[in-house]
Amino acid sequence: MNEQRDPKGVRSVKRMEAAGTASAYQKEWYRSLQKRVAAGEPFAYINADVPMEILRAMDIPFVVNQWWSAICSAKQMSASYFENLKRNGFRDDLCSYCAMALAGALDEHPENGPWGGLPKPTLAITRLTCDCQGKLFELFANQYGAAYYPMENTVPMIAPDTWWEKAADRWEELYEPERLDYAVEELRALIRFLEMETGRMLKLNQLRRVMSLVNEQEYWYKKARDLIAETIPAPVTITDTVNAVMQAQWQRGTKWAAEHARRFYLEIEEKVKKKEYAVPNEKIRLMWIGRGLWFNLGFYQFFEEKYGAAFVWSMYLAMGADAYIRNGHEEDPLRALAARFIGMEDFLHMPPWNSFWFLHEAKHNKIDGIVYLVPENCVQAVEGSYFIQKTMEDAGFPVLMLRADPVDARKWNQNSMTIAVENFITNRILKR
Amino acid sequence: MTERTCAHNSTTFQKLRYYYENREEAPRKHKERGGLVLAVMGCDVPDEILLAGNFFPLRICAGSHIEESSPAAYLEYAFDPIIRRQFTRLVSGYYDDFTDLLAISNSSDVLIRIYYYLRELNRMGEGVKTEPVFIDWLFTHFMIHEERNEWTLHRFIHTLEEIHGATISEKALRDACVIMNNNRAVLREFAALRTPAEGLSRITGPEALIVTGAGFFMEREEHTALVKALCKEAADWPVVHLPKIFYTGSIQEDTVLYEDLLSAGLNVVAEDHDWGSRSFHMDVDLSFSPVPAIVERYMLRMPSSKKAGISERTQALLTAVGESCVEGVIFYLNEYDDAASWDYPVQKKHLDEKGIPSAFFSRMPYPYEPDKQITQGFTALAGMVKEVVR
Repeated sequence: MNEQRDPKGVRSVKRMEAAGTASAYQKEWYRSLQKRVAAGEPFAYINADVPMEILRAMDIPFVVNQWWSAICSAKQMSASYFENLKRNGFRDDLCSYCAMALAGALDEHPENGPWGGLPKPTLAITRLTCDCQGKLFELFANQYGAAYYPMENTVPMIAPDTWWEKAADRWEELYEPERLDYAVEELRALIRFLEMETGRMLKLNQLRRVMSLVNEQEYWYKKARDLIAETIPAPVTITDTVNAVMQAQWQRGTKWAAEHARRFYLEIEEKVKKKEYAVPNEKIRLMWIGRGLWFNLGFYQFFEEKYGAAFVWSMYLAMGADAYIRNGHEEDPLRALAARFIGMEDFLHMPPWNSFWFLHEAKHNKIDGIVYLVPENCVQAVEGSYFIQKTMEDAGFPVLMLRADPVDARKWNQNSMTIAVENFITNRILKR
Repeated sequence: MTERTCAHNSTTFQKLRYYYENREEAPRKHKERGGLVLAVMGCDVPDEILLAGNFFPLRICAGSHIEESSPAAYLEYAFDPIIRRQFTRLVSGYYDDFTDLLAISNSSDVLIRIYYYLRELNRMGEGVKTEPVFIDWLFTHFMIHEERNEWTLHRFIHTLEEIHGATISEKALRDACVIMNNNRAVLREFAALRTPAEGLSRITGPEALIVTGAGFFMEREEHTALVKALCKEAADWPVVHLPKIFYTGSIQEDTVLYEDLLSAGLNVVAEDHDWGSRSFHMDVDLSFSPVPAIVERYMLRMPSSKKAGISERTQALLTAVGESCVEGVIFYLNEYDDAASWDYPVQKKHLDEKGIPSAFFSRMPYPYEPDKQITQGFTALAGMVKEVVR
């Protein structure tokens, strides 16, 4: 376990086997993906909010935009990739989280990308959840000669209370029936497109199997989240969990992912039993709201030794726990899937859905303070930060808002960000 | 602005200018007469439906000339500054005494956020006096989206009917479509004076903004009559001895930027924003029922920079540039109004291939603040255009 320093970011010290096994699996899976694409199979590049369960059930290999972006960022490639944008006449200060793949596609030597670079996609699919998303995917598709497919996004007219209590079993109650009907239509259109493009049929029973495996996987995340929330000191921190969870989340609907989630939970449970704590001198429990600092996961660990401050919560594990499970999907798997994918935008980016959930989670996880990353160049991440901050502060949870970019290391100032968090801990948390 | 003598001496133009500058007068009078005023955010709330419901549609303005009353603490910094100011004025209660309702369309992503935020502020007791009504268009050109848009408009009509207890009949809708079609027709007639196939324009960019924009703040039929009269007068106005350019980018609620372009030697004769040519592009086809016909018009008209893809936007720009016979193109985007930045390199490539000079201005301050660098940029574009024309 060694720590590698970088001018902009610090790699984290790995404490969980599950993170290592997920990374190893991803590399192996990626190699097999490259072989399949080289052999002429279709290959889809999709945004994170696209219902990937459909592609999984159709056995269409795919890579998720945000995962790839995080990989490129973690490999410290963002700076050179964003230079590609500039060289090709694009602005390099926009949409960093979503534009990374386009930036990589413009590279003169794409094979030098992470793990041998991205294979040439034949399909590019996104949801129109912001004004730039469709444009980015269209440019990306054109760069590779891939077929581009946009899925529309609808806006909820209702805001139900405590969505996290209803999402698993009472998911029909979260949405207007018409909105859900329409989302099913949107899914049917996507399926028809994929069937025509690939010649592969979506078998409903296969989709049911995928949905069951996702439920199984997320069940273990729910148990893990609850265990971390209720254990002081925490057995693991977000540095330990984000990679393990997210890498498996992009494989959701597979037996491997469900099994990995089970092992992930058991590993945490074992730590609790053995009283192995991530930060033995834990004095402060912190919550991280916003996207992970993918190029700098070591940042979270910096405050552990000096202050006994442990980042115990991020959305990555908690969303798995609360947002994905859809019981009773067997009768109408498309409707259950629709009830999963249209909710993501509501849960994460719309007050009071997000603010009330964050508050619930802060209480559940016995949080002392919140560090909230607000990206500068992303409208999709404009999510009611005022309302989130007010909800938390009114309930007695101090909040530090950091303006930063989750993937563009050029914009990160390690020193000033560290000082900001240190001041927050010293002045807002310890002095309470 | 130094007004041309022809415009200064035209009582018709001056009347339009009056409404353009006194944006609250007509809605206030409408309200005093017992009418209902519906405030609008976003450019895709169909006037046809509001007129059919006897509402006066009032566009919420950023009011760039007015000092911002309070910081918009509710909004993040990555927010289109025009929408930010519109929101600030709305929440400050500026419109409360002369508007009855608020409708918002999802014409850009930040407007969806505005809807969420207003709804949340209302829940907290800090918001605007009425619950906003939202129109959730789908702009992708698939049949299922058109179908859902028809449902969305029916819901919008139903909501208006419920709020005010009066039915909006098909006849009223049809009549309102005729009013708006007539209005768009005269605006296109006027626009033709800006963009003659040969020779120079008879209208300056600022004059055109005034004529078009006045319609947002007065009774439409009166606006139609005035523009119709002005078309006759302006046909004899002297030509503007400047190259004709197309403007693409952030909306221009006032004339200051166009005036500076004029000073730099560039006359904007067509544009793709909602205070200009886009607002009168395409009619409602009344050979169909009103709601499906309105849907078709709002879905298929000149695509917006926010809601259309690269190829659609590029094709639309090339078409508009060809139709307006311009000699150059200016791309101008306010800070945090960035989506169209992704369109630019592809659009520029196609313009270059056609030998049409262009210049790109992004992250521009709002309200518009001319500085040396911007002015030099305008002058440089004017130089390029003149070189090509020569």
